[in-house]
Amino acid sequence: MADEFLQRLPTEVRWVEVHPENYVRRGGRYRDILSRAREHYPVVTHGLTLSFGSTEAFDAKFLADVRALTREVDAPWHSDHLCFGGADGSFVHDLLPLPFTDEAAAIASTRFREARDALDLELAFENVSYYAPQSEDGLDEARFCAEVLARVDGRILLDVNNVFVNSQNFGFDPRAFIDLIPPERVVQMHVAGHLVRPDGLRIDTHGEPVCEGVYALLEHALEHVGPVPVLLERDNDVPPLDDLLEEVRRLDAIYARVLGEDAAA
Amino acid sequence: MTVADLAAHEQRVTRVCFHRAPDPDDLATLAGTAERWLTYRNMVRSRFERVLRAAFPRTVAGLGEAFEPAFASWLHDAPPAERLFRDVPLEFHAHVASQLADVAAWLPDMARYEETIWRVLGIDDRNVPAVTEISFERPPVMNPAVALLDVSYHVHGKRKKTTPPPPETGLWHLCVYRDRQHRAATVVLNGLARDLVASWIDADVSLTESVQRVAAARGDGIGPKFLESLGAMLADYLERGLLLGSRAG
Repeated sequence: MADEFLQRLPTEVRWVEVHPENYVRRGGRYRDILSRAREHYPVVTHGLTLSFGSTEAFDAKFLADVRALTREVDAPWHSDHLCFGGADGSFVHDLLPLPFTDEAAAIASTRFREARDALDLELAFENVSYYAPQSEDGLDEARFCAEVLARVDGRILLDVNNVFVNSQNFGFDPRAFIDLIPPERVVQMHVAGHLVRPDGLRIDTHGEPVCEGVYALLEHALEHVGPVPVLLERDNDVPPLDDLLEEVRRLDAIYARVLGEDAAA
Repeated sequence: MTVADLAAHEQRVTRVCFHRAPDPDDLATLAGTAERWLTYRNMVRSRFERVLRAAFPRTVAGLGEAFEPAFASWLHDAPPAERLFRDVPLEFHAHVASQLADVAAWLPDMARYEETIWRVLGIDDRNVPAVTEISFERPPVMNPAVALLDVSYHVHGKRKKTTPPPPETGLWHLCVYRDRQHRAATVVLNGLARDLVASWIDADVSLTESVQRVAAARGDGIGPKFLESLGAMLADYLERGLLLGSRAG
């Protein structure tokens, strides 16, 4: 897919996002792809393991590596997730949800500021999908995000698919969630597809086409936030490139309808 | 909830994912149904299993029914401590290496070979010294994405993933490297070539001096036949991108 993408250089795509964990301290194919991508597209970095909600100390060496990569690709901002990813020095390599408590907000805020200082770059956190309840009211997650934003004077990468998945799994209004997020704090959005299990639980797989509910919620999010970059995520069961470009064109059409043709261009 | 409570929560969820069997007390303490936390457990473990099957296809096939207990033991006793997901297979190998011979005599070699391939594919090659045309007066510069490995079983042949290597034993000196298309390639070396390549990795003496030292250590005389073989070897390695040239400056 990457090779085909970099040969065709589709004009529908205006920028790309990379996970630093896939590129730091690494040569070979990944480095080659990054280098070729940079020749044609702006690159934004989006991490997987900073885990702002962890109670453990940051790895200074890794932060330095991320900082170097953001400089190398001239990233306009960096983002990672409002979650934790393990304990006692182990990594589950998944994005685990934080309880929506004041203490978790305080810890995440402290770590967010620490990471932002180390990276010396605009930093955003992403709201995650989750499958076990972290409070009785699903909208508490939005309040939790807003609380962290206020504490750190920071930015959020609003993952519209995650909001939709959580709203379906925990029975809250996803539009009300979006409305609780201060629009001026949103630096970027994600959309993706998810799996609906036979028992109805929705799993954020990034392995399915974007569903109608997510497209509709994106429209609402753009109305609320205004023009910010939107990224289509697809990590698993990747279809032919033309199928993905069709999804990108659909996102473009929504963008143009909500914000005007100039904003989409 | 205090900071200690949050830390305990994170430890609890992590144990649910990693322990051989999730502790009912952990599941009962976490908010929501056990089924939802077990969903995390399944997702986490499936992801690890997928990357191990990708990195060690023939080792996993060779383990057969022994894979599942080895996998469970690894996650329970020595869970992944590396931040980079691509290092997960290396951690698994470090944990199970000493147990592999109990399953099949050739499995340790197979696992070391597959681990070497996985590692070589990712070696960072951005700090290669400036290179000029090959010269006997300058230190040689090897492709940094290279590793030497001795095996006692013929694990390096092209076979179906589920096919074990032939039962014959021997000694093969393998040179695994990343080629120009970023694929892993393997060259079987004789003893002299192995010693030469070993001396050229991070070499700080001239090609001439390195060859003289290796020949002396092996008790080999440097005659016309030796030089002819050396010339052919250098040409082959340059062609493969295994040898990049000589250090400039």
